[in-house]
Amino acid sequence: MERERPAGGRILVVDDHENLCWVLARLLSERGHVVRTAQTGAQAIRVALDFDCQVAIVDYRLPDTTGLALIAQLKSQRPGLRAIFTTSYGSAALRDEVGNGGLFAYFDKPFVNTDMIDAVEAAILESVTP
Amino acid sequence: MARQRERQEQHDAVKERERFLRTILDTALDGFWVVDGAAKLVDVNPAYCAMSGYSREELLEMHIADLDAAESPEETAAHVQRIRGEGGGRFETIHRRKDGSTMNVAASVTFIGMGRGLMVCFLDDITEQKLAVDALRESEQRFRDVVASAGEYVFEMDAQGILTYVSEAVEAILGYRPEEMVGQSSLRLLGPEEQARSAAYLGERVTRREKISHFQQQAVHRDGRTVWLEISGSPMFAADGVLLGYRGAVLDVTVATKAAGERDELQARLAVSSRLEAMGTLVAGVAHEINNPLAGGMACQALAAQESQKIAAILRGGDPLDRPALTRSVEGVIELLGRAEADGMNISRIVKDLSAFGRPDTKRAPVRLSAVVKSAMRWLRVSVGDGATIRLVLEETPEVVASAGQLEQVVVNLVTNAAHAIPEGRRGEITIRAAPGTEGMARLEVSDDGAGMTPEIMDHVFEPFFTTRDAGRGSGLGLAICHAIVTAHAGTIAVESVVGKGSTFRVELPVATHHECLGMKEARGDGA
Repeated sequence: MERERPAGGRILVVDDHENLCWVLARLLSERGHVVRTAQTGAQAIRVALDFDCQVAIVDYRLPDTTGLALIAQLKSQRPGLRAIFTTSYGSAALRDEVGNGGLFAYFDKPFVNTDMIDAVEAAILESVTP
Repeated sequence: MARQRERQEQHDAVKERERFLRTILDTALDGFWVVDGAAKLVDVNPAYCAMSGYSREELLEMHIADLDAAESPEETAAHVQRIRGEGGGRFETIHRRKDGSTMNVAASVTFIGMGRGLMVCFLDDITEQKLAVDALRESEQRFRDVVASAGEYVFEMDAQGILTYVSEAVEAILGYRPEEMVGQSSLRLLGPEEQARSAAYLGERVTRREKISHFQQQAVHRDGRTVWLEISGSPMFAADGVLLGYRGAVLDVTVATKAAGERDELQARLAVSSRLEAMGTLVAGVAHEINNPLAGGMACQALAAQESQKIAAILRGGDPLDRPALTRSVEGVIELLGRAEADGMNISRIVKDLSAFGRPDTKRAPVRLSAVVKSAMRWLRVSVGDGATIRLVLEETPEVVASAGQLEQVVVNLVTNAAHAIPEGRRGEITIRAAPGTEGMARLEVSDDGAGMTPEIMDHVFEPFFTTRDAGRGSGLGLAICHAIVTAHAGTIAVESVVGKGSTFRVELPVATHHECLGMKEARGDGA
C-alpha cells in the first residue's frame, strides 16, 4: 500500500555528526521535502529564525546544549513544531527522562531509514491537519 | 651558805626538770633530735633509735646528711639556714634506716640557738600513713584506668613484660586461667609478627616511661580463634622513681574490629562501584561515539541500496537509457557507499583505540626513554607528514621499568595530538625531549608551537571522548589513553599551554631501582 505522501514538508535536522545530517537531508529531499541542517544548538536557532520548519529531528547531545533544551527553545520560536528525538546512548533510563514530553517520536541510533521517513511524514501530516 | 644552798636547790630543780624532760622524750613515741649548727646530732631519743635501727652512740656520730635520703648535703645546709632565719619549720622528708630501707618522716623543728646554734627536732614516722594514702590513690587510679578503658580484664606486669597479675575475666576472653598466665610473658599469646610488633611498642613505652594507650594487638584464644585486644595501662614507679611495670586493662575489641573490617570491605566495594560507574560513563561514551557513525553509515548504505534497486529496475526495463541520469544515480550510490565506508573506518578506529584501554599490561622491562622515542619515530615521520618538523632533544636518562610498546603509544599519541594543534597552512615544530625529571623520575616532554589551549579545555583534555577536532576525526581517546598508561606506570602526566603559543605535555615516570634492573635482566636471562 502506497503511503500517504505529504509533499513539500519543511524539516530541520540538528546533529553534530555531519554525515548523519547529510544523509538525512538527502533521504528526505528525495521524498520531496525541504531540509535544512545544523550541527549546534545556536546554528539551529539561527536557521529556525527564517525557516518555518514543521518538523525538527534533534540529537540528544549537542556540543553547546542538550537536545531537550533545544527542542523547548525551537517550540517557543515555532509553536506548531513537531519534534523527533534521536539518541546514540540508547538507554532505557534516558527514555524515561525524556518521557513523552511533547515529543512526536523517539529514535535510538542507528535507526532504519524507512522508519524515520514514516515518522517524519506522519509529523508533517499532523502539523498541516491539526 | 644560804646562797650556796639556794644555788644547789636551783641546780636540783634544773636537774629535776631535765630528768622530767628526759623522761618525756625517752618515753615519747615520736623521734627526737638535738642538732648543732653544723647539722651534727648532739642528742637523740630511744624512739628515733628504734625508728632508724641505729644505736644512740652511732647516731651521735652522725650528721643530718647521713640520715636524710631526700636532700643532698647542700640542700640540707640551705634548709638549716632557712630554719635558723625563720626560727623553725615543719616539713616532710625521707630518712634512710640502718638497713638501707627508707621511711617517710614528718619533721617539726625549732631553732633554739644557745650559742651552738642548737635546733630541736621532733620526727614522726609517717611511712605507713603515706603507704595507705598511696594505696588508696593507686586503687582509685586502677579503678579509673579500668573504667576509662571499659576494661574486660585487668593486668599487672613487670618492666620485663612478665605478667604479675591477671583478673579472673581473662578466661572469658582468652580461654586461659589467670594462674596459667601469671609468670608468663604478656606476649605469649600473640602470633610471631604480632609479638615483634608488640615487643617493639612495649619496649618503647618502657624506655620512655610512658603509658600504654589503646594499643591494639591480635591474640590467639585457647581454641585457636583470633581475638583483637586493646590495651591501656599506666606505668608503676617505685618511690625512688624506678619503673616497676605496668598496670591496666585489656579490652576485647574483636567485634568492633570486625565492624571496622566490614567498613573497609564496604569501602572497597564502593571503590569497585565507582570504578563501575566510571566504566558506565565510558560505555555510554563509547555507545555515543559508535552509534553516531553507525547511524550515518547505515543510513547511507540503506539509501545506496534503494538507489541501486532503482537503477537495476531501469536497466531491467526496455526503455531507452538516459545515460546522464543513470550516471548521476550511480555516482550518488558511490558517494553514499564512500561515506558509509568512512563511517565504518571511524568506528574501527574508536574500537582500536578502546582496546588499548582493555589490553592487559604487556611485559615490563627496564627501558630508556630515548630508545622509546627513537622507536616511536618510525611511525611518526609518516603520520605527522609535512605539517610539522619533529626535533629530538634526547638526554641520557636512567632506565624506567615499563612496557616499551605502551610508552611508544604515549609518544605517538602526544605527537599526533601536537600535530593536530598546528593550524593548517604553516609548518609547525614539535619537540620531543627526554631528560632527568624531578627526584627519582625520568621526564618525557612533547611541545608544539600550535594553537594552544584555554584553561577550560586543559581541564578536560585527559577525559575520554573529549575532542576539539571535528566530529568523525579524532576519537577523543588519544590523551585519555596516555593518561591511563602513564598512571598504570605510577607516573604523572601534566599539560602547560598558552593560547596562540603552543602546549607542552610533560610525562614523568619513576626511575627503575638498581634492584629492579638487576632482577628483570636476570629474569630475561641476560644478566651478568
